Amino acid sequence: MRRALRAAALLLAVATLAFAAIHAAPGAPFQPADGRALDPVAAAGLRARFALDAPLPVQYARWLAAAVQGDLGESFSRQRPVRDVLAAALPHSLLLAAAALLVDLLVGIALGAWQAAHAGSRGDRVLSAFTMSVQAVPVFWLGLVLVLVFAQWWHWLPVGGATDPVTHDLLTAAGRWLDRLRHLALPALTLGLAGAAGTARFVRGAMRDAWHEDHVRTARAMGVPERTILLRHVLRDAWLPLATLVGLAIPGLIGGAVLVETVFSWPGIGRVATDAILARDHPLVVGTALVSAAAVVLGGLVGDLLAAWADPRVRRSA
Amino acid sequence: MLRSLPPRRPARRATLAALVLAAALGCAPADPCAGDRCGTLVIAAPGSPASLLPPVIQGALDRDISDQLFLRLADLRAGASTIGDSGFAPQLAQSWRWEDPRTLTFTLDPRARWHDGARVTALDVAFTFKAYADSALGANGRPALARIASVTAKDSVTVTFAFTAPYPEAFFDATYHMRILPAHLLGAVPRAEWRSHPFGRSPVGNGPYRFVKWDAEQAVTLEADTSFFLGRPHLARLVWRFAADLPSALQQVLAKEADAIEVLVSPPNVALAEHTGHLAIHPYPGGTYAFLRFNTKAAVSRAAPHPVLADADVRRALVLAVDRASLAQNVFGGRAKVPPGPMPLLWGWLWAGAPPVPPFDTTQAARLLDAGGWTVGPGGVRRKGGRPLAFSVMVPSTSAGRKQYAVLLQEQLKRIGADVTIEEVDLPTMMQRLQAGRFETAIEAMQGDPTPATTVGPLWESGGEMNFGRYANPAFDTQVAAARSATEAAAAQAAWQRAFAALAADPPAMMLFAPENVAAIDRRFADVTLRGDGWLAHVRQWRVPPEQLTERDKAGR
Repeated sequence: MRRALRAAALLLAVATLAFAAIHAAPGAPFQPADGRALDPVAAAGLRARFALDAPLPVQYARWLAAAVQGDLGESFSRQRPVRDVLAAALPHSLLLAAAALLVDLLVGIALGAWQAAHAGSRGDRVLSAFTMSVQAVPVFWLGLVLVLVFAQWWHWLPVGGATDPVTHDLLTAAGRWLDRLRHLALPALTLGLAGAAGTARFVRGAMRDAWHEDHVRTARAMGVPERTILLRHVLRDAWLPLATLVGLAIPGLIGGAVLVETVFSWPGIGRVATDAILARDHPLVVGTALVSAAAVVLGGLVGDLLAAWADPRVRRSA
Repeated sequence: MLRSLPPRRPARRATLAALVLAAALGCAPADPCAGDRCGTLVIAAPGSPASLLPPVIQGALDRDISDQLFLRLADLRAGASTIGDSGFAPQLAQSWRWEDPRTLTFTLDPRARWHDGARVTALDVAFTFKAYADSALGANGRPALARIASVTAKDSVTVTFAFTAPYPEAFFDATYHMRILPAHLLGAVPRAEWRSHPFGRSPVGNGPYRFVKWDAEQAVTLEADTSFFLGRPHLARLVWRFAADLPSALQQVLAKEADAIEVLVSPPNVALAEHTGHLAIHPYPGGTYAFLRFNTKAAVSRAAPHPVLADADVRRALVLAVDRASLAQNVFGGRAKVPPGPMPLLWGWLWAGAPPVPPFDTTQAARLLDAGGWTVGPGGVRRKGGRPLAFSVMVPSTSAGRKQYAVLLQEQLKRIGADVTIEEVDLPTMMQRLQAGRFETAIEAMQGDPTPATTVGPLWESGGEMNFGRYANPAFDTQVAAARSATEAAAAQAAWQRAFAALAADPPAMMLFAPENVAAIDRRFADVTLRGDGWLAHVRQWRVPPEQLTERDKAGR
């Protein structure tokens, strides 16, 4: 119950801040993208229709009253309900986030664990340099390189979009899944690899710390094989802080994948949010901010569940 | 992995019925995909449309798509004059006649149909005019309809336009700005709801292509109307793939995931497209021109003159001090011209015999400034009465070309002692500041339709609604009025050129560039022609020769 109240308070705070910020930003909504000035009569009509001339607290109160009933208003730039715009974009963002998280964890844990087990070796040093390099590279640059190699040079994977607009509906169910996976591969790899580099460094450090714990030393003295020590004891110890890291990564993957969504024309929330800000689309900006806030709540929940799963003490205290 | 779709029973029955009917009539049924009628054109487009309902669309992409769905009464032939009606070809209207100089009657083509099967009627035309003229919708081109007093349906195929007064571009205004709408589908919808009405996302049109589907933020698909009354389109399917921005759209074309892109914008992009081998480069006249607008009034007090830019000699000197031809060459690699007035390349008829562009002449510029009392002070910046020759240039942060121009202008103007600062702002902020007059100079771009009459007045005439610099030049206003009332193309051309000469003598802006558009289109497409005021205007005549069809062309056929 307390958690639900905290979540509601967070959503309200984020929505309020986003509402105030976008209204305070310079620039007017409804500007045609081609630089024309909007017909003054039409502009006045639109302002009246969306009650933009009312005092800001009044506008906020109206928005809030509608929002609690599930009506987030009408997008100025998309010309349809904000709810519909978000409903169309959210599944794409969730899919990308899940796939990227999978890449992040699989690659990051594997690399980190191997490095921890071979700490100080030449391989460890090479991988450390590699993960540091990947972390240092801007994510959009990594995306562009992958596009160049896998899409433009080798034509193995598509350059962008979530599906093939011509053939997707003509495919079998399996074919449609394959089509989705092919389109998902590069954005998920880009986003996932960028995270995996950090995860690997984190896992390596956490496992190296765990390596010197008493229970690990005891297990080794008892003759438990190194592989079992690594998987049963060291990795498990490292999992608890990693669970928190996963929880923190989720909001960034859902609402913050703006650059990746731009490079790959992925139709997710990040792209919608960027467009909305540039168009001064007040209702849509607040709507996307709400989704990001919800992702923070979700991330916290996932992190706590994973921690509880990894550590019985956390489960008992919960 | 393509599935062979078994036809549904009703479709099978319908096919059987068609075969029986065809056999009975002694002719073969039309193959839905035979010869050169199978092509699929995938267009990579930066951005995403908001609505396909013509009076409420705001962007060029929305317009490109809806133009394939909705027809005009008549269409302007490429490069034809907008004066009179001789430059127009029938579309929904089969014919027209002038009852008198103020009354124009159209007879609709009786074969014209909406995609739901209903006939296109004169009531639709009258209904459309009322919608476009409604200020609540804010339709593009609404101001151009101000001289149409009424539109009346006489019978199901006859509709009469009454004008408030005779004028040379009456036919253009009656036909060019409006795409005819279905009264039977929209008549019951309050206009306040049109902006977000579902019709805008699944429209029923009367054009060569019918709407199939819209995947939000991803793609819109149209399919050829095989029974289109003006002739079945060659390409069976048009698909717009939406990309986040121009580079992403270009990538789709380079990687063969899309077939065409409207504009490549920069010389490096043109070079990339040329390098692929599978793309043909199609230059066509651009509808845009860009300029550095001077604000003649002080930004703080809109009534007071600007301390620097209100002086016509200073503005003239600034224009003379910039080597605009070199700038255009550097930025566009020869694919842009310096316009002698506010004119895009689209107005080719106006370029012939246009007044010369003022030369690049820093000596003359310096002389003008010296004569005006602007003397070179410390740091090389000119001053007059303690005031430096300094001003800011506002430029949209989203336009790489205009930002590049701002830097080059800053550099060139420094040489004659002008201290220029650059202000990058996003487009909504720029438009808000322009409208409020809170700027000193700004690099703007204007998209024109086929006639100067639509845009030149609002931008530069005294009191024009987009005359953000509060410029006033009675000589110019007089010539614009003369051009608008000219009944012959040659007279209009001469009057516009006199108007532009008046602008050159007292410049409200420094005209910077009028770019040529360059599209990239896959080489398998034949009979490609592009029009400056709508690059896809002739797309129903494009085709893919049967031997060049790809899997994508044949998918689902």
